[in-house]
Amino acid sequence: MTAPVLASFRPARSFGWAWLLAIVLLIAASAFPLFRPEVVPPEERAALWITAAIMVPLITFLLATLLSIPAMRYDLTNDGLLLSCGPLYRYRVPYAEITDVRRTTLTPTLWSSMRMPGLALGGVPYGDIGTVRMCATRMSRDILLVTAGKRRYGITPAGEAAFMATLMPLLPRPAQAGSVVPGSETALVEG
Amino acid sequence: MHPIVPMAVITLVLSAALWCGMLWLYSGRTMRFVRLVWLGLPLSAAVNLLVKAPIGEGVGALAGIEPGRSLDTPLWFLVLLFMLAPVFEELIKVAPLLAPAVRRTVATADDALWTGMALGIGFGLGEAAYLAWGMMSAGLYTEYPWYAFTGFLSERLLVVFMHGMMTAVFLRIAKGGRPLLGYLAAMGAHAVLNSGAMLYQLGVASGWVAEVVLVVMLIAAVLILERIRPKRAAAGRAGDTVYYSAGE
Repeated sequence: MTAPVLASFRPARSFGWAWLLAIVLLIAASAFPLFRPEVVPPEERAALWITAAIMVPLITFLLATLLSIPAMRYDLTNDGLLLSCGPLYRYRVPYAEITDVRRTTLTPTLWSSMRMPGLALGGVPYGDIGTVRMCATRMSRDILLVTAGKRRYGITPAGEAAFMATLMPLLPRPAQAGSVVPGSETALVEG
Repeated sequence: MHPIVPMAVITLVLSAALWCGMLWLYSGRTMRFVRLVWLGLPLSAAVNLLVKAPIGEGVGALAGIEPGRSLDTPLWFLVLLFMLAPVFEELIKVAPLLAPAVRRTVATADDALWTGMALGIGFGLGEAAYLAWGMMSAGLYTEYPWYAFTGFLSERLLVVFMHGMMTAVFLRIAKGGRPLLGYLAAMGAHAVLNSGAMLYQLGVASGWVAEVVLVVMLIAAVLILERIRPKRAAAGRAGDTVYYSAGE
């Protein structure tokens, strides 16, 4: 049985879906020869089957991800934060495990992952802090980074101040709300 | 219109967007280095038409060797043809640094890395255009539809990055005071990268060998870049907005 949702927040708007759509179209274009096998030399037709075996699952996965983007949300329950983007990406972060919440900018790496301008989903390796489980509509700038145990989660709620105002009372210990680390900006905690 | 044209346009637009975007992002969200990319654009055509072709044809004519590559071609001549690209392309890619204005952009080792990346990306983009032009002017592969050239897209997309990496490594090592070592590293990497294609052209290996070499080199290049590129230190996190910290 799932815990009741106290509050639900949507991610910030972005055009990440357009990038993903472009990638789907690009990959689909590379699968054109599957529909015109006569243009492929006979000795290379085996490659068509290999192409199909790779392309069909890949395009299906990317389409499923694309269709899931409108369902991305952040739910606050009694005992944890639920990050979800359709059925493919779901993370539950117990409040008891959260040790740090901050807005930061991350440095992407060249390693392959589901991240592009305006969208980051699943495990994404970053050059400065390692792998972050992302459920966000931004790739690197102004990411709300939630550290829970050894895991890190990246989100981009549309109303960040309202989201934090709802989250803070649910966190386990008296937080250093409004505290400022040396050289940092003033924390924007409200409520 | 030759069927390579639409795919060449897609390749150039996509490669330029992807690798210039990477350069902009990794170099600190600045256009300072991206602006150097255009300097590399004409260099592939220049080195092919003015250096490699005259040397290859001239030496071949002097030695009485028929044009083309096969197992009947003398080994020394095959080695010469094989080394023309690494030797001269890696040199001409850094030629814009002869201009004092460009040289001034290389103040630190990190600047050298991104300047080399920019010049190499420019060279790679120019090379893609030059190869497409070569295919068009020779009237090759006109029987295929444009979407049969996806191999051109995937190969050139990766090779543009590889050109950037080779020049980046060259200039970064050179900035450390060892220009000859930097040049040899770039030239050696270039030779390894071209080895699969050379074996394929000689008919001693299948086309997939060249693809495997490219993928292995690509992974090695990414590993190297992720190791040597500047990363934001902990001090760089001073701008973070801390909402909550358990103090651990």
